Amino acid sequence: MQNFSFSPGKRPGGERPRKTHRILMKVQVGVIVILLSSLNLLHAGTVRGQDLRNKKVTLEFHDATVAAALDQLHKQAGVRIGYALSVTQSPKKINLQRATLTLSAAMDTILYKTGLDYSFQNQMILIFKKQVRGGWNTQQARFSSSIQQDKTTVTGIVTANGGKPLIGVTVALTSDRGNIYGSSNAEGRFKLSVAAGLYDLELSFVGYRPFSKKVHIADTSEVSLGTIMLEEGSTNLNDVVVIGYGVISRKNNTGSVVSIDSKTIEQSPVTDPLAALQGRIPGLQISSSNGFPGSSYTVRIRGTNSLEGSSTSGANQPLFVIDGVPFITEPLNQFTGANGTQSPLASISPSDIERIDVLKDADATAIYGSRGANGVILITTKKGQSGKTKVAVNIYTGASKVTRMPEMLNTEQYLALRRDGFAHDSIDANEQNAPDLTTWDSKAYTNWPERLIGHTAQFTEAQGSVSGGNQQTQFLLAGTYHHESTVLASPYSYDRGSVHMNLNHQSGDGRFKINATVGYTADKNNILAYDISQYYNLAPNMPIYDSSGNFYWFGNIQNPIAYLDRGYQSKTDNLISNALIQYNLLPGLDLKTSVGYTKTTMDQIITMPERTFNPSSGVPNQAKYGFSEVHSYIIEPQATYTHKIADGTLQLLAGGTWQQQISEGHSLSGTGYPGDSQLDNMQAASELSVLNYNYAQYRYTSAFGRINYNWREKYIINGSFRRDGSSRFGPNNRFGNFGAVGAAWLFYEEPFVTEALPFLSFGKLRGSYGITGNDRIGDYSYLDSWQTVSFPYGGVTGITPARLYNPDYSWETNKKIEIALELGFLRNRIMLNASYYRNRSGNQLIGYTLSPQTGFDNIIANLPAEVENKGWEFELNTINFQQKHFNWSTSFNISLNKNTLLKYPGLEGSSVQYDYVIGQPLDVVLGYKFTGIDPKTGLPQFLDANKDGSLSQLDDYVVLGNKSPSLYGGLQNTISYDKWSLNFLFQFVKQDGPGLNYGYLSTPFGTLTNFGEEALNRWRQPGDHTEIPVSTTTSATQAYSLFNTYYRLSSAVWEDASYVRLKNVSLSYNLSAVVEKWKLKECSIYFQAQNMLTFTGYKGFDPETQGSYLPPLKTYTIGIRLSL
Amino acid sequence: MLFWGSCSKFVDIDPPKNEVAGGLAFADDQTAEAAVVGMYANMNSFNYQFANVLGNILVGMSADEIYYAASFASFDEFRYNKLSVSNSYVGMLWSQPYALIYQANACLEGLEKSTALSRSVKTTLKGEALFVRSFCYFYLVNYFGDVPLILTTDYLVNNKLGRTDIQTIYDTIESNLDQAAMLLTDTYTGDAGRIRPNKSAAEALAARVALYRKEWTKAAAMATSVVDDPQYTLEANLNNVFLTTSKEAIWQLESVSPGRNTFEGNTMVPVSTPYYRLYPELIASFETGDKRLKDWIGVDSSGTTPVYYPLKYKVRVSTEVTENSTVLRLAEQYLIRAEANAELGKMSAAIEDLNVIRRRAGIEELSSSLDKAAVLKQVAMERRQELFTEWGHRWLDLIRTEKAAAVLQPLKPDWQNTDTLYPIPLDAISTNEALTQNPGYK
Repeated sequence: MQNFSFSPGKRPGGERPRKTHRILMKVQVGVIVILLSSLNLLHAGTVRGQDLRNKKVTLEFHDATVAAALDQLHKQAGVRIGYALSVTQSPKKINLQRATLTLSAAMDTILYKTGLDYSFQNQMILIFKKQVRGGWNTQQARFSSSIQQDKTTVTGIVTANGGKPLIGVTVALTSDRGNIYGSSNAEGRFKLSVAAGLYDLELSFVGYRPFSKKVHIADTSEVSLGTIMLEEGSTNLNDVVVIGYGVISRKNNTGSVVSIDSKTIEQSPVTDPLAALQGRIPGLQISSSNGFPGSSYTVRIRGTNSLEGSSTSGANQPLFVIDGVPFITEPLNQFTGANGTQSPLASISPSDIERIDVLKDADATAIYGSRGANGVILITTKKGQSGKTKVAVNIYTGASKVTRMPEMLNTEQYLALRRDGFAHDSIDANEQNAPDLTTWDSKAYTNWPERLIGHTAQFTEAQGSVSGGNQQTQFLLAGTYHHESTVLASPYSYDRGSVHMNLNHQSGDGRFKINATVGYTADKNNILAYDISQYYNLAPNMPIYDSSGNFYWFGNIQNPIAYLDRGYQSKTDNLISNALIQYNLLPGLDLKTSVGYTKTTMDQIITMPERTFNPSSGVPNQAKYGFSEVHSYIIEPQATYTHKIADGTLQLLAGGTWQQQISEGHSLSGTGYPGDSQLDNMQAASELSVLNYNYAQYRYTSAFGRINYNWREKYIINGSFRRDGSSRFGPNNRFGNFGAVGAAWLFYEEPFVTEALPFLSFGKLRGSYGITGNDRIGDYSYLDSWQTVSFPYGGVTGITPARLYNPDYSWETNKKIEIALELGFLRNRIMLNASYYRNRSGNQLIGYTLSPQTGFDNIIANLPAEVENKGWEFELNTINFQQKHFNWSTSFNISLNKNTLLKYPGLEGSSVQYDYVIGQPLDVVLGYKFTGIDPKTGLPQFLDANKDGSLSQLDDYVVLGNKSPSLYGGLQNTISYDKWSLNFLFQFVKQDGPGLNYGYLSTPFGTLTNFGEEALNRWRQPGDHTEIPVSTTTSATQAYSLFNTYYRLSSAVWEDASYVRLKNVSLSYNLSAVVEKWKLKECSIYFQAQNMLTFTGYKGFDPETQGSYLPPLKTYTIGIRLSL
Repeated sequence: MLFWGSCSKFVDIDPPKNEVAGGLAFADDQTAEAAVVGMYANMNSFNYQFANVLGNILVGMSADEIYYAASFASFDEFRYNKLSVSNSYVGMLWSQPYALIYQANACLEGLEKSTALSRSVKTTLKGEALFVRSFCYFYLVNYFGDVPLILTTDYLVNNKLGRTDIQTIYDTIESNLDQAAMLLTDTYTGDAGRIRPNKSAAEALAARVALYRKEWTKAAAMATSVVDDPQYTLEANLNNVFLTTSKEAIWQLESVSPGRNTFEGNTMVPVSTPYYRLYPELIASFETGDKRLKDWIGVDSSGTTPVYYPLKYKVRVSTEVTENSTVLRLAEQYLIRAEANAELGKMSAAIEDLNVIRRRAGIEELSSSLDKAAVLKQVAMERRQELFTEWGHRWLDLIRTEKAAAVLQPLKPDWQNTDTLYPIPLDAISTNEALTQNPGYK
């Protein structure tokens, strides 16, 4: 029986005990065993095992190999040592100054970092390979305990940094003899009972860095391990990162993956989890489209790859996967509201998220095949934890205001500008062309930005959870309620409630496991139908109401206060459920199936009472109703196999996917209601017509595999492959192959590195290359079909050809290459990661321009256009202070991306010839080069780029800039002192963008709209040197036409939109010691702020959203967190 | 292999519920009819279509008929005959007929292949598709001259086709219309009025085509066939001509957009100040007592000088539909026959047809002693007064009778003789190397 340790590379414990004997007998035949014996054997034989461990021996090694060292030990101590021949091939060189050690300490020294372990058995030392821990630990523990006779009680205390005891920490003592688990009690004490020997002590607790240490448990009745302090934080090389269909330690990962955990997400008082990621992850650029609740975010991982679609379309969106199930991020809106489209991710409560992993390079994303081109964001929701039942409550409340407001002219300054314009134009102001100067009150003043969006919003969230369980079964039940109002004058609000449940179970022998999660969220977004921020520039003395109290109207100027009476409501219900079922069939071989089902519905309504329309337009009251639904299921059977080959570990993954998604929706428009109060009632409409009906089915199937070989934790190679089929492509091109190879070299343990760079505590060089795809185009585009027309004709609903069809187009392909260096210094207190990547997207799927004589503008086709994204990412994490009462760590990240359109055959003459420029980024913006104001006339002047004597759009455009940041990043500090802890994050972005006066909606200085304070610097008289043109009011003037034709599309109004933002501040005070007497385990109060300060030279609203959209909000909250 | 077999099957999906798969569009009588009716719906479901406001109003702006009072660059280019190749409305006048031609071709190919349709439905639908295609080509050649002749749905071929000689296209139109006249019935399909072309519509368009080609005998014969059809009579009351119940209408496009009647009425009937105004020269041309001036033209006298605007369509907004956009009507057939007979030397027949129109307008009959030149001059005048703001008749008449320069040069300072053809739109010419630009444009 004792011989079972002789089977190197095998996992005896994985077998059922009854069979063990027979299998081991066979194994012995195949293994060469050398027994070092000597004349001293007989003497040694008389020594008891316990004494043998403590036997003293004097040793000295100089560059000794393991074999040589063991040989010396054998000779010195006169003990038999048994091992397989292959273990002596360890390249480790042992150096030891002459010392006297116990035998066990000597063994620890020799075998340190060799991947070998030993045990004392019957007066001899047996050496074998360390086990890779698998899923049958419990069984092994049971099995091995049955053969161990003498037990030692191991005790200890686990505390957090400040000395606070940690409750429910998982404590494990693992060794080849079996694994013993326990957890800490209310005082942080733990007690385990094990046989004497060498163990790995491992402590793990959510939100703390895992702790591991080799301990030698002596053969006495009790061993105390003292107090073990766990460090908060998440950057640890032994942390796992979640990758496609699995997890891997950060240390051994060959791909580019960045993670953030719930601890960080909890620091941000945000509605959408994406907002908590801003500034924290290199290579991930996130910007909000506006500050309304539920607004969508533009998310780019390493730039824009696809030509197809604008920033809001899905073609450049990364793939989102929640608990293994792809999440549908295309908005369901039938029509837009003030927030644009509702972000589906706003239906995920940030408090339910355990961690988010961002996969960037080919190695990490190729396992997602045709959908990995834009990177992958994996969201893992919270799971139950074993231990005493824990009830936790977190409540916070606060207030929000917009980050920034443009500074506009006051009434006096504005009217002066207007009079100036009429004077320059030499025409008279009258009631028609200048009501502001003639009929409106010249003393009246409305600060329109303040009036429209200057109010204070409320922000409240309450979370509660119960979790617990034993080693076999764990559960979590969590609920969240979220409420926020808006910065508008009217009482609009956003409410969200969510329930999250997780159940985790494993069978007694640990071979069968199931993990099931159900999340349900309902939200109700009561906002406006339109973003009224765009009316910030109304004349400051324009009346809001007329003398009889009705809305005031003039010409075609919209009264924005009337818009506040137009209701918009969207209700989203979201169900996400998934289960992972796993069975350990054979040693090293696990079979799994993940199944998921998600369903999202969205109901919308817009009500437009008659009073909100200018009466002269004669438009009656009306309403619109939208209904959408999308549901999908996914089944992914997988098998994983782990096996030792030579000195390395081989891990194999194979699996398949079946996925179906069906989306369906319709919208109706109603008119002719008996009264405004009936607009919500569809039945009250005298005429109801169907605006839209949409239906799409999407099916997706694949086979995927991964092979990973890790040789001595030093050389790691990882290959992944996926074959995908998608219904978005024609029958001729449904299937495509994708794959990647990644490799890592952990060089810090190489002798020559250790010698040359002794300060280096970690070093990894990794690289990858691979091909991923993009199928983010609409459904059915390959199909030859007819669709119904809008209105029936003669009682017959007509149909019309839906499109020109192309049955042959296929995937966009994205070739990614990456090389990265990861370094650790001063025992990993300083960690530096640098990566360089280059992604090239070709075979671009676009609407290929056709001559309209074909009946259509374009056809979906693959174009050999190529887009390149390349850049650098740096990440630096430092632990500046690490003391009992004071800890300070800093994280810094910076990303530089360069986007280039490398080629686009047929660009010239195509319909997009002014949208793209070869050699420039995809989102390049062209315009006229403003060369200054003529001091004599006050007229703006522009560069005649082609020197033909006249300005024309075609030939005189220059590059103004582009819409993507060239550089972005964040700087985070985490400081804890005694019971205080403080986190703050600065986010920075370098970019340019449109100023307030950019674009076709902008009108010349002096017209009937207000302007920013820059208008005060306008040209007034000959000889003025300024950058702002002369005031003008009438379209007949040259000043007017120069502004409209050139100025508003020129570099004069294109600005630097870079900014530095104090994105997040979180300050908390731990009251746990105070509340102890009330039987509360944990209590802390905290202050959190989001978007607290913004530093920028940008003159418009906010540099993140740009243009005249509601800026992001700055939010301040206070809260309390309790658990019992 | 089994695995892959099942995977391939898994990604075979059903066609979308809101679409009809190509093969099924002609699988039964109902969907085949829907495919053909889709053409008319496409013509008139939205504003600014070649078959409503663009063809009726914008083309009229090129002549001495109607103008837009405010300054709007794209409209001004029509008004001053200074069209740029990138004018978006010119683009639509090109791309919309071609989109309809594609649909007509798809219908013809689908009908040809289908074996499941009843004989009568197949015959009628084929006639309608041939008619619509001919109708579109008629306007394409008159706006742009030689244009690509596209008779299939194969975009790979069609994308590269160059211009075809105008006479070849006219030959195709003529033979297609003759065929359509044989396939179509005298009665109108459905019970929703005269909203789908019948045999008379094909003959009426054939009469116009023959007139444009100076095939006088054929023009007169075709027009006679329509005029003699008892289901058509001139509405005695001018206010009834454009109603859905009009007995004069040969083909109308049904008003389908909710809350409106015709897009023409919706556009031209003023809210307060009229923006779409008739040329004073047209107003001045009416004889005293002409009911067309009184019933079809509105006047706004709020300013210093009265402003005239078209009022053939009288409804701007209404949920009750009383008017349809009229494409072909009987009065034109009288005028076609009058012109053809005059050219054939049959003066008295010509004068009688003109008098039919004049009697209805409430003005004096013409003397029976007019000579050919005088009759033709009077035909031109009656066409101008009868057909204004309908389908660009005035513009096309000035060109086909080669009077454009003489009439328009005094009114339009930048007039050039090459302005009689519109430019090939930029997005058409830049995407097809085989297309050449019309003279006078770059």
